[in-house]
Amino acid sequence: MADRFPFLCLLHISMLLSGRGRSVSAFSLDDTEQDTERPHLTDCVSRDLETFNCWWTAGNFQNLSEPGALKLFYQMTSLSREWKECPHYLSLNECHFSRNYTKIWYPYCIELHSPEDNITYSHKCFSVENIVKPDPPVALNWTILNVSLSGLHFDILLNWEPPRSASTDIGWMSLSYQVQYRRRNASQWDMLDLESGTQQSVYGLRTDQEYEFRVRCKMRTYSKFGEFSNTILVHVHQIPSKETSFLVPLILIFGVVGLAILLILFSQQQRLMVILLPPVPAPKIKGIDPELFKKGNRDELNSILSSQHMYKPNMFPEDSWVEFIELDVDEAAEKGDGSDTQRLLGLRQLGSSHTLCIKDDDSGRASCYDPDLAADAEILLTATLLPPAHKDKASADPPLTTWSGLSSASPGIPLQIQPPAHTHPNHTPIWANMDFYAQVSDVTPTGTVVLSPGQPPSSMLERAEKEENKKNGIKQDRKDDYEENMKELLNFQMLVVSPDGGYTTESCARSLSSEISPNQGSCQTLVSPSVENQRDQGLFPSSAHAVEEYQSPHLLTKAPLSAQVMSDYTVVQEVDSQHSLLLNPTCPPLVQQPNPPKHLPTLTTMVPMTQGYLTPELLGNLNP
Amino acid sequence: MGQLLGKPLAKSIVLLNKVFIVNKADAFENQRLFNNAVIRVQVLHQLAAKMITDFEESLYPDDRRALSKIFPLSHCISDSIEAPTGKDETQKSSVLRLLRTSSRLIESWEYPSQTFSTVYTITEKLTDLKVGVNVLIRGYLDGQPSMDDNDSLPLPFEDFYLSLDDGNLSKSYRLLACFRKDMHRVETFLRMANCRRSPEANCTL
Repeated sequence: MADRFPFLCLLHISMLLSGRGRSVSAFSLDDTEQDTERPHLTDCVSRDLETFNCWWTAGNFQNLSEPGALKLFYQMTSLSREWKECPHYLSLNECHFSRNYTKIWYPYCIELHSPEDNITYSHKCFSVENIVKPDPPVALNWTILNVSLSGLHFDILLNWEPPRSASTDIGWMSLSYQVQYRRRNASQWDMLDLESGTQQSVYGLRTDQEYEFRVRCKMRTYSKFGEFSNTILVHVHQIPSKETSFLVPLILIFGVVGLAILLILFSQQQRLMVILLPPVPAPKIKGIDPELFKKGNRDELNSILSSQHMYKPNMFPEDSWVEFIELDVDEAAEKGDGSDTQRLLGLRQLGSSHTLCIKDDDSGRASCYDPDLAADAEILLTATLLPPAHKDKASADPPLTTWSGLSSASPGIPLQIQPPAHTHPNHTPIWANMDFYAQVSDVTPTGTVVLSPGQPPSSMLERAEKEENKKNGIKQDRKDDYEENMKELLNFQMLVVSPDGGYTTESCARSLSSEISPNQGSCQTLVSPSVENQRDQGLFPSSAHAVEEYQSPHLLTKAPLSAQVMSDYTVVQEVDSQHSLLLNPTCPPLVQQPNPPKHLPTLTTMVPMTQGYLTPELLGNLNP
Repeated sequence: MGQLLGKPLAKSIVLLNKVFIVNKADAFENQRLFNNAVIRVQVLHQLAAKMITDFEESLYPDDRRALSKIFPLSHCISDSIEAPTGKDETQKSSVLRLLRTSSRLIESWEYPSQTFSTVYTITEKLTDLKVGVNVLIRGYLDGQPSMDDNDSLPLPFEDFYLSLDDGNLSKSYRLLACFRKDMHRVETFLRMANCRRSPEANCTL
């Protein structure tokens, strides 16, 4: 076994390498040992699935090469176990099984036997359909399908006929064909895919080149190919086609046109560059000389730019504790007669469902709070806003207790006021007829009013003091910045500044703008010493004309209020739960504060606010 | 006289024409069914060839040698079914006989094919083909009493294989080889029957 092993390995390797061409049937399974020295059966083949032949060789055994020395026996194992001799010896080494002795789809076993020695040299078993190698196709022929435009390539249609022995016309055998071709005298054949029909198109052949074609066939789903057909020659002469004559002049024309375009491009380069790549214009503002940006000072720039309505200096301080005041337009419209305070407090409407409820959209503000409490809150708040001069006209206690109640309120909860026992809600306080003021620094286009701690002159003095303290390191940060901003604000803002630089009332402002003679005695202006100082220091523009210039564009606003003129003073209607002040700008009476307190009033100390203004600190102290 | 003959004659002519037309429609439908059956069995035959090829390629050389030794595949389930064994015999068999044989062969594989891989859905294809062939058989039996031959039923699947002394590998190989052989037979029978019935069945392919 060991000596036969390498041979068997080689055989198996060769079988594996042969790939799909390898026989599928049992006959491919290597049965007996193949020794070329000894007599053995070489092959058994059927051509037409009706008969088959077997060949053998005696090998090197010369004595067995005589006729009759070796005999072939066969056995049809499914029918009987009897061994029969070859029905017909065609030649010395060939046995033919005719139709009478051939049964398809039956297993056969063939032996090579030497009767003298009684030795069986070889043994094969198979079924006839597995050993079929069909005859080659006949009548190979070809026709030209088409020739390419260039005349260099052509396609042909190859056709043939199946072998007669296959009896395909009655459906006995079904064949698959394989076409092979090569250039004449080439070494290798190119093969095309299997074709079940009797014709095949071949594409991409070159003209003026000779080709050889041949076809072979096999049974469909089986693996043994038959012999090749005759080789035919295919040759097509190149025809000088008309299309080639078109190409050269076409190329020439295109070349000339291209050259012309290039020449034009080079000659008109500059103009084309302007057309294709226009220069980018430099930035420019109408009416402004760019040189001014390089040399002019800031004031001039600001004046010019602000007149362009494009640029506004930073008018809104960035401190967050400057609250925007929300103006409740509907409430203002609904209120009828009566003083502002009365309207503010809604004292006439206490019994009814008054409209102090803020119309709530999705702003998140608390809408309605308890009217009774609210009324109390308002009453008490306004009580605290009273200037000290009016204090004796109202009960002094409520403010104290009120603010304590307020200061202890927790965030988010509407103001919970503990009404003092001695407050009579139905009693209209005397000071209800009074109005309270805060300074408006700006009104935004949407109608919100910016309150400033911009103060009557006394508080300005305080600020000056604070600034000095700042140098000592007292922490005043943002407030001081705000003061700085406010100083500049005074220069440019919408403050109605009288030509003298003092504060004036709204009616005065109206009179100023409309040139109506001011009412007697009601229009007085406060002269702010600090303002005067600033003026002297040149913070204000030197010319009064400039001031009036400032006035005119800013006095008219788009505030939805009834008053078209913005006023410095406005009335605090109420403080709602979110600590925004509701204002009602009306013409306030004059307020004079000759002697400001030296220190800042705080809620906790219960010193009422100076002059009825709500300073930012107080406002901040409202927040618990 | 002429009138007496005229009416029944006309009626019979009309009837004959009707039968002729009906037969033509039936013949066309029959042809279509036959073509269908041939195509289906060709698919089955190709699947069988693929299965046995894959099996042989997956064998180790030792196993391959061992299988060659146990060959001949002398025992198939379908050995008991009578069928033509050559071209002449098939040519001489009637279409009906060929159809019947095919139907029997197909039926004998319906159960054993369940051991094949379900990827190929052999059993379903066999069942469909059997139904189609039976329809063709019924078409041929119109007006003729069906003469069931007394073929002995093939042995049950399990018993047949239990009687053999085979290992698992050889059992599988035997099953695949028998199936492939039977599919080739059915394909040949049906194709020859189809070509005989209608010359336009493209039999020269």
